[in-house]
Amino acid sequence: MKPLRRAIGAALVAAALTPNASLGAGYNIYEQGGRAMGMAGAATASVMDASAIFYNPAALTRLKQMELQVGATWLTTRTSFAGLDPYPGLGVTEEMESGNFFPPTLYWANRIGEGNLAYGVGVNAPYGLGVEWKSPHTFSGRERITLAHLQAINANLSLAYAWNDRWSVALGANALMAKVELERVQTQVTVGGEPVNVADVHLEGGMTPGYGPQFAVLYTPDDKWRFGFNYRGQIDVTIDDGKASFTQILTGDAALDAAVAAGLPPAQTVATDVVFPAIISSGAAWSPSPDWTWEIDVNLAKWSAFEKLDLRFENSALNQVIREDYADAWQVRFGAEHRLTHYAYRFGYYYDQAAAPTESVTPLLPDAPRHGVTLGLGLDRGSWNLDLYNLFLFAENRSSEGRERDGYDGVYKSYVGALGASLSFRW
Amino acid sequence: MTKRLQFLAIAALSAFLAGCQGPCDKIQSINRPTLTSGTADFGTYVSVGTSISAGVQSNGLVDRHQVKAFPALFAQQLGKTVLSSGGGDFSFPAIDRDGFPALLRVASYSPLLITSAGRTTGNFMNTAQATAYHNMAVPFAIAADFVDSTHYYATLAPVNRSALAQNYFTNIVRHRGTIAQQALGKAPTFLSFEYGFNEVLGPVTKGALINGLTSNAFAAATTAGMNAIRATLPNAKVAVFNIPDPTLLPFVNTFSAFTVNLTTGQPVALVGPGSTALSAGDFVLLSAGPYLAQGIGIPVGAYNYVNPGAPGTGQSLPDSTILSEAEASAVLTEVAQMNAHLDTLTMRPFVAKVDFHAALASAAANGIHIGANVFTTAFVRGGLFSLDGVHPNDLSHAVLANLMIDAVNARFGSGVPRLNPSDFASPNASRVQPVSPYPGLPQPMIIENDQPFVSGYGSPFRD
Repeated sequence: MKPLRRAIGAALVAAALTPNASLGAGYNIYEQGGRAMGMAGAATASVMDASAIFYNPAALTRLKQMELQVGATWLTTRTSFAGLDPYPGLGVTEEMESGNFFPPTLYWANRIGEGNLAYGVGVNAPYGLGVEWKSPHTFSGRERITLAHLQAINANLSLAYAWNDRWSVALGANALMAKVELERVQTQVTVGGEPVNVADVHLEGGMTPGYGPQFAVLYTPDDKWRFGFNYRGQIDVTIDDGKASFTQILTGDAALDAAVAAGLPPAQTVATDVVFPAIISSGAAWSPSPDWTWEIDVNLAKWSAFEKLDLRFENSALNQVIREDYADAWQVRFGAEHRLTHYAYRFGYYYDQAAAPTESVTPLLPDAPRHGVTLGLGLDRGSWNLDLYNLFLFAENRSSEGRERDGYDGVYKSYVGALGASLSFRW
Repeated sequence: MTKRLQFLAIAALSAFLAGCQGPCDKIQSINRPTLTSGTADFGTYVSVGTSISAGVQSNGLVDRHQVKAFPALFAQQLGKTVLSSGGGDFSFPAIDRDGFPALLRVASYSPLLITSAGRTTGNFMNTAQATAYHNMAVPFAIAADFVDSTHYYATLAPVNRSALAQNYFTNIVRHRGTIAQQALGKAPTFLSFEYGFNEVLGPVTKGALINGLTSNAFAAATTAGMNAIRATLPNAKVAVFNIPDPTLLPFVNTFSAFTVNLTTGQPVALVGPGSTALSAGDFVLLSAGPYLAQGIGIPVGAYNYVNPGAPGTGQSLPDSTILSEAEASAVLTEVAQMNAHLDTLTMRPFVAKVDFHAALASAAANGIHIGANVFTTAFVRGGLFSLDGVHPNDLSHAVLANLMIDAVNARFGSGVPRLNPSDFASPNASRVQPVSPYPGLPQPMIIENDQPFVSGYGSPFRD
């Protein structure tokens, strides 16, 4: 029975240990500041609070006071799926559990002495979110994935220097801790062709660090124009202490259950590499009058780094490589702010190109082009201010066009709502 | 705009968007396109053909699989009602209980035991139906039977129809003239025509040399059939199935011609007719199973992959259980000629070609990918063939129905909706697939069959 055990074992662990997301292209979260997001994240040039640590740390030199900013975003996600032939077939619909996520932000920025140096320390969650399909044991894509969570907490330390009134530069470092959890259902094909559930597969990797650089420039030629550039370097996280477990699902067929039990792999370690791609941002801000600022940003997320996922199990015979072959993805962000006496209102729009090729549009990560509309409100009370924003992110319905690598084809529909706030204190 | 109005405007817009009607709603299912007929007319559909069209599985015919036969599935896609009682808009000769003959099933898994023992033979339920059935496919039928009733109810050379086969004709054709007379008498506007499999299955399953005139006889019979259809129903359209490669059937290619020497672990050929060692091009048929289980055909000192507990006797396997390389080659030559003739028929404007031959070849080479699963032609564990190793299971019938739908739509510009094959997967037999301890060799198995698979396929000539 050894070959049978190996065969069942290989099938049972053919699970994907992959990152997942449902918000930005790939699994990027750009919602890292209340003011910036009121302008659709178009803030690389005009950012003027402690969230500059994320959007452009060179702007830290332009802060007049030391600042502490705390914030959070309430993200809600809705994703559903309509099947296409041949599998899971026309007429089939599936739905994810509505997701609720709360990525936090915490920024501290200050000048060093009276000179031209400033620094910032920040903690945020620039990647992540999750996937959880309803009714996992009957979900038509259960052999691929039923649940996927990626949690990532990033710490940043940036040092900025102002050459003069026009030019500032910054160098920074990111330390990111990532955790991945995946679940799927293993099935066994019967003589009649019906797959029956035989095991729950659970993979989980503990918090693992990765590191990446950051570099930024801010150019302010006059009172009306600001130009920004921000490079957040790629972070590679190698999870080598993941745990893989396999829990049998009894079918009622004693012979089958016995064979599955005999072939069920033991709990074991699993390792993989998760890439958090570099993001290059550039922006131009124009203030035609003291109370208005308009900005347009162009971002490039280097998703081409996300080529594959190597799954390395303790039993190397079970190893697997999953192709992803993502492409670099562009974002265009446009935003405006109108500052009044005690408050400001903001609005913006952005387009986020899909990074996944059609072949990689899967129930694990149904990537799609997105259109984001934002509204923001800022209340200024001198020593503190509160920035609120609301994001309405409409993903284009994305079809796998019959080309999904594992033959799970259909059209995905996603919507994300985000409600965020940042509270800043200045001294 | 005052500050208050600006604030209220933003708040109102936020509230409106937050309502999230539309974007937040679950996606609507994508439904199958509605039926369009193009240049075809699907008003009345009739099927003629062999046991495949009839819906035989696991060596028998039973209602629960008859309703999943590809003609029945095609009829459903046309909007016809198909009832397990055999009635409805697409009627067929329904058989109850465990089928006729009683279907094979898996009685145990280790070793794999396939048998019909203990099952209840079914009865034809609606032989009193006044009109002809819409599914006039008859197990064991050959192309000549379409317009010639000579061999329906008698054992006459060269067909030498078996008692079982005669029973099918008795209960399906019911002494009411020829198949063509009954089928065309229903004035069908559309027909499926699937013949030729039995012409080659006879010699293949008996390990015999095919008659070299088989393809000529087939060509004459199918031409006569097509002409009869055209003459009687000048506006009818026809879907014609060609003939698959019979050596790709699990019945033919499950058993290896080689096993291994238990001492050296080196490959060693099985003992064929006349104590000759089999060659790599020879096929050991599934009907060799009972002999192999006794050690017959297994060299002395070699591993018995059918029954590891029975040592090899070194005795010869009967010739009827071996399809030699030469016999296989002759069959494939005939199949090629038969298909070449069918190609000429399918060039007629009222005929669509359903390329069964290419479909089985593709399935054998690459499997059929449905979702995360790859279904193969492997015996028992592949998920495409029923337990007789010859006939497709429900899932394969859905694949065949889609094959026919694609061909018909392409030929006649129609829009017959496709099926979702995975809807037709069912756990109708074994769920476990014990494998051999020796890679490449079959798993241990016992095949008990009081009516061996090959009985009734007729003589080596044609049937």
